[in-house]
Amino acid sequence: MNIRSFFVRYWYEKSPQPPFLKGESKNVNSFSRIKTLDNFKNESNSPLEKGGRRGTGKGDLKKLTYYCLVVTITLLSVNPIQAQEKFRSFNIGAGYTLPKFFDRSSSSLRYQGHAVSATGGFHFREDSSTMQHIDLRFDYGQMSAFAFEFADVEYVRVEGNYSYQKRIRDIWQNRLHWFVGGSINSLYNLWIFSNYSNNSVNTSLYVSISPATTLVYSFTLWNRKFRASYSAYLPLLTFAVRPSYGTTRLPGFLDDERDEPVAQFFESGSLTSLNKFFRYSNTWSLEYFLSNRNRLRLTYEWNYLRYSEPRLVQAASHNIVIGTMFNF
Amino acid sequence: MKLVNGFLIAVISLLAFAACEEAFIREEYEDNAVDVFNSMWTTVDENYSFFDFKGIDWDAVYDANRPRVENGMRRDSLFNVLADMLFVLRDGHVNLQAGFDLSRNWDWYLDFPQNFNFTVIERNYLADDYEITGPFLHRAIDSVGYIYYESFEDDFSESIVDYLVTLYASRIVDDDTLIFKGLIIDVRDNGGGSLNNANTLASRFADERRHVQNWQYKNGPGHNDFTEPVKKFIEPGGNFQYNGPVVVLTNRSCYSATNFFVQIMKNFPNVVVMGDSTGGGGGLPINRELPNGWTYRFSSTVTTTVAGENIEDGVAPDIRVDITEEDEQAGRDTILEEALELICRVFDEQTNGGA
Repeated sequence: MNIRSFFVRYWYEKSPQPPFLKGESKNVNSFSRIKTLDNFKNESNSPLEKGGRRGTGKGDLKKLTYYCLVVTITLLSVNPIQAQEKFRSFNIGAGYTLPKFFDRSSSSLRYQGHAVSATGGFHFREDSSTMQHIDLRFDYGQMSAFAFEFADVEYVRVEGNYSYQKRIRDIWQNRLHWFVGGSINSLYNLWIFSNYSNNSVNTSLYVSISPATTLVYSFTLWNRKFRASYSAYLPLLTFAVRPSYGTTRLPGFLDDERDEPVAQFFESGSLTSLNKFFRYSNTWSLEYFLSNRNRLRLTYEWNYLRYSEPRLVQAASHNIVIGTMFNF
Repeated sequence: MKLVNGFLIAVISLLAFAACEEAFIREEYEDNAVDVFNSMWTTVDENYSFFDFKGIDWDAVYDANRPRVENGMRRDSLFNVLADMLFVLRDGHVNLQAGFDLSRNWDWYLDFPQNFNFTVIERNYLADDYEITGPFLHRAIDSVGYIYYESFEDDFSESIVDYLVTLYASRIVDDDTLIFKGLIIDVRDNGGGSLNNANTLASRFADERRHVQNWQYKNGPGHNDFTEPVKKFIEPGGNFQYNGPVVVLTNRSCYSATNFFVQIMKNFPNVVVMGDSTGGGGGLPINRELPNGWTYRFSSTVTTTVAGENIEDGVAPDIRVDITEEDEQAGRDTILEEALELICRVFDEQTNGGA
């Protein structure tokens, strides 16, 4: 099945009234609609063309929808790169993060700010059936409560992930490769409240085991090779280390007399799962192959965290990074 | 095909799910008078550490003050309501900071005699030939070392405090006369500061590692939700420990870290505390922000002596001495004079006993 046909068929089967085909009977069967759409280009019956036979071309929303659909179909219709070549590469990148958090241990307010990001990592693919990623990300920025004009919280975020995934299925006529596996995720947050004294430093650490998935789609466009991918993970089991209830000190470190940092660290945390700890991360990336097989990479990640012990904390961040992947 | 369709739906769902943290991370309180009031009341209710010790009915405080708050009221009026609410806590570690005012309850020293006049000390005791070493003003008075420390906010190095205790512990014989009979540490009017400074200074007088205090931290929203007591120890620090007679001078303006320091010093056998009770401040204050940008702080821990006495309301002196009216008019510091006399007497007794 042609990918375009598939997408259009899917669209019509799920949509009782396609928004861009105004005036068409609701009872028109899906095949005829596909045919209609396939003929858009050749028959110039696009709703964007005023006076076209089918489209009215009057609604901006409908125009936007149409554009999006055309772009999507175009992307999906370009020549895919069938083979998943093996490679080893390391990557570095820099970007911007928009962080937000709400932590009842420190404040009853929500904070938002801006941060710069640095990323690095290694990607391995020894054969076409497995992939391994080690990714690191460091953020530093300033945040403030929404009510304030001035930044009063320093923000540091360090994240490290290791992921091992196996290809389980090739779909869309072997053009889209679906990987599933697991990952170990660690996240360290440091929030320093410049207006505070004894409770100015709020630090937390989460180490999780997660199922992870990745979709990889390689294609050529304008005679250039690209690889698009989507990856996500959802921690199921997490060791979370958070401050005590009434202070930002970690529970295991309240007693200054103790000098067993490793034991104290583990005493400060607790093993938790989805009922108390929810974290979700998804990443979209687009890689552009240079002539020497190195790649430029544009990545967007959205990350959300919620942990209810000992007091509710929620954090999220939007992160966009541009970087380079070097083969070695 | 079902798998593919399901997969597509999942991807589209995930895409839609992204970037919607606004729906999850919501503001609990808005920038209006009622929310500001509720934010402060709730936060204090869940975190303040002395409700039961002071017998404060915080719910009654809410009932009394909530009707005074309505959205759109003037900022200074709202400030006054919040300040009145916090005043009930009778705690020098409780303040509301707005750009235009700072709320406080300073009754812990305003209702008591001052028992200290720095002008008298400066002109009649320190005079012209005292030394200034870091934040310490010091000199020998009648063969007794006298050190005045104005604030524990003023940091000092380990070497400075080593220098001081070594200096006044000197048993240098000059014409067969011992130079220093003892040491007076005057922390009157010292409103506190860094506990590190308090511990560093106290460590020079520790004869051995001693259990000096117990701390308890809030570990839940209930007024009596505390951790088990955490033992605090002081052990000898620096190159030299002063083991001669020491008198610590106190008044009601000794607060917070000074309160801690005085309580620690009382654990040492060669130390006597003289003057008035300290003002108190036995909880570590923590800070919070309000939706309108104001900040406030309040106590969140409890400190007790080894015997279990709460030091929030102050530390009693071993020897209670007030400055008399006659001495005040004559430019004499009764407490300092008594301390000098005590050290001389102890020295004489030790000397005679030794003989």
